[in-house]
Amino acid sequence: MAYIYPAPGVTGVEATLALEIEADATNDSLSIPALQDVTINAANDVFTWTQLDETAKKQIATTSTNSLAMNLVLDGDSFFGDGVSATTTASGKGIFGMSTAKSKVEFSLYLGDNDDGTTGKTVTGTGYITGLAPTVSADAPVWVSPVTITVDGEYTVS
Amino acid sequence: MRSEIITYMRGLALGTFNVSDEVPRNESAEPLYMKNPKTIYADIAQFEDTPFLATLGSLSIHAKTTTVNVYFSVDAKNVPNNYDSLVSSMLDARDLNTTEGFNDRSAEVSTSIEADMLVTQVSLSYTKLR
Repeated sequence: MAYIYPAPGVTGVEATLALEIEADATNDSLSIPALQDVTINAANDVFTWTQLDETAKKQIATTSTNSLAMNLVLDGDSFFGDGVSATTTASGKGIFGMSTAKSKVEFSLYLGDNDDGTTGKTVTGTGYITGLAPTVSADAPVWVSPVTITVDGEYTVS
Repeated sequence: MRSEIITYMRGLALGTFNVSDEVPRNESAEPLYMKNPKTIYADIAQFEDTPFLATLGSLSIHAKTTTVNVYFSVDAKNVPNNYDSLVSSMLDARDLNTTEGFNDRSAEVSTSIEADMLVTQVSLSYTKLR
């Protein structure tokens, strides 16, 4: 058994998410800081039918709708671009810029180390950033935003 | 915050009250406000740091609450005429330091009778994220 057990704040052990713009050949990678939570959605669609010779409905899984959902605390550089890197890169555009530009991104989500200290799994894929809704309130004066990455195709787990 | 509160109290319409720089207890831990009626004492500030927002990374945001308790006593049988207005003005001390970025401020008054004295405690709390 190797339970996935990320340690928040411990470099190399914590859960991390990195984004690259697929069309960017520079391999610039933007590490998303201050993630509050991450959810990997893999929702299979199911086709259901009935048969005269069956007492229960028949089902078969068809295609899945995949997405990553997360909430994060806004960091100016990573959310709006660092103002230094080329504006064609993930670091230059930031999360907001990649969303408004409809950039296709490659994501790499490291789940965190296992409880026995071994390296954990990484989920990768490509998709589009959507669902941004930065919000702040008087009761919680910290800017936070949900982020959804709608995945194009299947996940790859390594 | 304690010094700001003391300065603020000194600016109020005190009448026969006065404001001390001392903490409200002597070396024997006896409450000075019982020995010296109508003298206002501000205690040392108390701090509380509670987790406000955690992340999967290194960022952890905390709410730091600073609380200053103010004490004074009056003769329970002969409460000064300006008692109510003074307590009301003391509550307004929650609005001190408007540029400090406090996201929560509160003030609370409680009273008790000890011997023949009416003891008033004003708790002023200021919360800031860090």
